[in-house]
Amino acid sequence: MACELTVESVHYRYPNGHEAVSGIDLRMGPGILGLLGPNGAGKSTLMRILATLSKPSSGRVLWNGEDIARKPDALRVELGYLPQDFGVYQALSAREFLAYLAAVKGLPSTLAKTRIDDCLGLVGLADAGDRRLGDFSGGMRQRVGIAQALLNDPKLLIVDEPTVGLDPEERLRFRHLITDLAGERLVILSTHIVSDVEASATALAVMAKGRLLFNGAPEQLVSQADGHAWDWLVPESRVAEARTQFTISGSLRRPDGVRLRIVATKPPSADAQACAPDLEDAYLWLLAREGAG
Amino acid sequence: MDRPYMGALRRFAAILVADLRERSRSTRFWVVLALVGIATWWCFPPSNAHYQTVGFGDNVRGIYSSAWVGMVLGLMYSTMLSLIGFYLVRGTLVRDFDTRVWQLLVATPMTRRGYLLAKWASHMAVFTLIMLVGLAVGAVAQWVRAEDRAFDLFELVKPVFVLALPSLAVTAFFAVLFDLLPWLRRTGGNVLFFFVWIFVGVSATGFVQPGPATWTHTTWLSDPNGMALAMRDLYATVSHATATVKASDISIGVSDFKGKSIVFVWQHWHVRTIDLLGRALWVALSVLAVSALAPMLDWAAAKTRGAAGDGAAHPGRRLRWLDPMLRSFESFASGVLFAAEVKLVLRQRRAWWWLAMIGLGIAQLAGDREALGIATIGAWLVSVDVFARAVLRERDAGTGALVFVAAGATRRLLVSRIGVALILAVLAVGPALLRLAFTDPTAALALFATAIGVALGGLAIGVACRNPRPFELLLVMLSYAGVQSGGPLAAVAKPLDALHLQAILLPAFAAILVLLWPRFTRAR
Repeated sequence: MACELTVESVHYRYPNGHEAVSGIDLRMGPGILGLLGPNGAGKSTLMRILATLSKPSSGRVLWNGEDIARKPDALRVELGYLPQDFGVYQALSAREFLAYLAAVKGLPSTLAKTRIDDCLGLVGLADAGDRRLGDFSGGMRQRVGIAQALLNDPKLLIVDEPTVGLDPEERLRFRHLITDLAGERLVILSTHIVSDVEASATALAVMAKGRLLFNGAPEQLVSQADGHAWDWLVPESRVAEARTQFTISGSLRRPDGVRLRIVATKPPSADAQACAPDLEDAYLWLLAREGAG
Repeated sequence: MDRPYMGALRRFAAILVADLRERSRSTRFWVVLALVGIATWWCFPPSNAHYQTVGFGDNVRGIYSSAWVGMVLGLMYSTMLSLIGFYLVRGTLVRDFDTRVWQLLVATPMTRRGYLLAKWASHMAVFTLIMLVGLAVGAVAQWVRAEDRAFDLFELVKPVFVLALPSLAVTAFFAVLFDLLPWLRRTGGNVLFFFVWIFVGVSATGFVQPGPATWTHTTWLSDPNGMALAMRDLYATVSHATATVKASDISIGVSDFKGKSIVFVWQHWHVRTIDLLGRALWVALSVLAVSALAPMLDWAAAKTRGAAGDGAAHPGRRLRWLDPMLRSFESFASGVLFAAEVKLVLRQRRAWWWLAMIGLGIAQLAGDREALGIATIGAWLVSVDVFARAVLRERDAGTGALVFVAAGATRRLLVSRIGVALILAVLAVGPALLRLAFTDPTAALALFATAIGVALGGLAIGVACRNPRPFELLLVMLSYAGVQSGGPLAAVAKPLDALHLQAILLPAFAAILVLLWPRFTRAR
């Protein structure tokens, strides 16, 4: 089953001149690509381009060799997309809403019924399918959004900040779902929450200020931060000062002070101890090194 | 030392400036200003033109002096801008409520009264900007038309200030009021305001009716539009120019005529102090009325739809009886789409709509021919939001990114949406169609064509303007003309005229939809 997405020198410039995406090159195959970046990095703009909602100002995106700007339907029939912000029709039940979207996607009626049941089950809404969306909580609506993205059993699944608004239990369920879904399909998971990516991504891309800073396996990014992560116990009175001087990837309050996790070229103090970096450290190290934090 | 009123003033200014920035940074704002400039130029046709916009009868007008140019602008703005301006400026409070900016503001020392007055002032600032553009164009027109090149800034500005400002102050009040009342925030308010505007305009008649002999003591307050004042003083001059016109012959809007226009000299408008007090009273009343709304602000803000994209509307009724009716459609994909569109439209209908449709249906079946015609127009009018907002559903509900990434969605949605709009427009006049099919087939055909025109027109204008208000305003105006047996909606009264008109309009609407809908869906 062909499943190859290629991004070639893609730029996107808004009418006001702001360049949200600057010359991105990516090549993706089956698996889960975690797209990380701080807010305003250009992730959502890139996601909209990949989802055929926007056309790049220059460059092109190929899905199995077809330019999606010229032939968007070549991708759309195999695309599932969960945007960062979306609405629902409150007058419809979850099942009716999914039936509506299945029809818009062109699914045959009999297949649609089966898929709707399957997808509602996958997101844990099998029992709530006949309730109207106006009565749903934010988390339930987000799950409906995930269900609609899966309706056509997509070969390319793009999910943009999918765990926003989900409670910890729902977030965990979503991570498992994404891991289960990967296989012969490509899942692009855009987020600024490193733990979402850490749990499931087989490949990683990091964006900041519209540029691609890193593209590779998560382990590669972690290895780049080897020797740059430090564990430092400081008195509480010095925490504010440390924040201004160093990039802090974590902190833990203890009876004898605050244990800071710092990413830096050199140890922040003689009493700081080197530690093994995790993905969060590596991500912050990359942003700090590239001046994009 | 900072005085308390300085803080209040700063907050007032901050809200006003933020509101103006928000408005002026949209393309629509500048397009509107450009259109006002063009429309103002069109108000001053050359001497060989066969139309006039303000005058007496069809062909009596003042020479283009500063005073007459100012009078034309004053009357046009006090009447036309007080209508169209409402649709331009309204919505800023609703935006604050829906985007939850209000929740940030409410936690500040800002007073409710100050907030509402700042919004009212913002409306007035927009009107003032529009009038300034108009005055500049008017001054150029005076120079170019060259009937009287003596430029008098005071005489040019005076009528606009005296006539239009109080009228627009009243409109600004209604824009605030209609934003506050939840049931008037959308289509309902847009329709109702037209009738409010008619009422305000008609109130002028009450001041004029007594006749010239009593004008001097009845017109000092005048009406909000200042019509009585203008008619009183213009008539005194125009009656010398031509004996055939009456004061009530004053016409505002396009008047066509054959032959040459008759002109009179109008170089100075003497406004009495008491007249100015009367006009100032309307402004003061507007300010007081806006202030009086302050206690209901918290209640109004709580009645919000939530943030944009949080759903287009209330869930509405379940209407279980619809399910078996639509079940047969749900066995094929396009039928599912159609059934969902029907449910979306009908479930969100309020009880009053169902009652109105039943009443109008009975009137179509049992009323005389005139009542039948009016009932058909009424049926479309009470459903105006369906036609005006159908194409904007994805934008209003925030579902565009879910829907338009599907292959073929653009075509499928257009087909189903046209289908549902057509069926609703035809069903709304179904009883009349049935009745006329047996008694007057031509009228039935005209009514059917007009129903298609209403449905397609709503969709096409919605796509072209990306806003429901232009079609809402248009349908209300056409309905007003239609009940007086005029315009394209008078299909029962003038079936042949309606058929001819629809023969032109329907292809145009279809072309707009086919051309603009794909672009519209990409723009989300």
